[in-house]
Amino acid sequence: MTESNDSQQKLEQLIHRTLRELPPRKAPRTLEMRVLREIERRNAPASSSVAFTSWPLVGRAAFILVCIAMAKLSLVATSWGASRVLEALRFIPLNWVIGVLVFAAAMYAALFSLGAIAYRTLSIER
Amino acid sequence: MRSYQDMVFSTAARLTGNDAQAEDISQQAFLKAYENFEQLRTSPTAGGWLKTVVTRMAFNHLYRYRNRWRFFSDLPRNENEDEDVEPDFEAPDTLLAELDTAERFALIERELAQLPRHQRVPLVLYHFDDLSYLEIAEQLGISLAKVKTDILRGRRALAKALETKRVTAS
Repeated sequence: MTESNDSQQKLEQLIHRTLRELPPRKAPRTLEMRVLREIERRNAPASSSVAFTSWPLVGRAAFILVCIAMAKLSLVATSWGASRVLEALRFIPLNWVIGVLVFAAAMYAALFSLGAIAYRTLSIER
Repeated sequence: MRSYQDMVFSTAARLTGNDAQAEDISQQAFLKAYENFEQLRTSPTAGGWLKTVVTRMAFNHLYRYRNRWRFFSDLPRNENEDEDVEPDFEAPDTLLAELDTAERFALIERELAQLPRHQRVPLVLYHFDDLSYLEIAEQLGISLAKVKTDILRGRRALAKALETKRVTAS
């Protein structure tokens, strides 16, 4: 055995002794509390899973009113938008409309292909 | 949980070298144990299971960007880099024996945590977990030669740092 091997072995034994005599580190007091709190949080029912019938009365009434208002607003907006589009289409030649639709479809297909190629190149082949 | 929390925290803290990260990892390990509580409740190997889980979680945390790290670590290097070019360190018989026990333990833990990650992790796996060089190389996905070099350099750095503290303290 060479002198270098001897000194390396001596160093290994010294470090082994030094590290093995260390007692386990004391876990912080907060650890137990954090774990218990997280378990409690996980076991509590999520707000989204609480039945509508068990909501407070004011909350249920407000929710119904908001839903009605939004439904009415979307109906008005849709009918207004549709009438405007139909009005505008009367002045646009049919060929243009078809051209725009074909262009949009081609762009969609091109982007889809690029995305698929990029995924295969960058992710799967890694 | 109380019986295992020091062991779990120690494992995570020594691998990561960071108490805050170790606490996060320990929390995740105990939550995983909670998910498997039915199996672990009567298992005599619950401690070993927890140790394996916390070690794996610490690895995941440390090597989240393992592929990128491995890519750089596998770049062609200087031929002599892996060779033992440093002069031998003449190890003393004991380290910090003149300090009182608590102070000595605290100093060793602090110096261990300050080692660079690529030296600390294999050193901890070798000396605390009794893994062989080959097992460490497989777990970390690096070459056997690199594991040996990193552990040797880690030992030297730790012994030198502790020697310096002894001189400063005396």
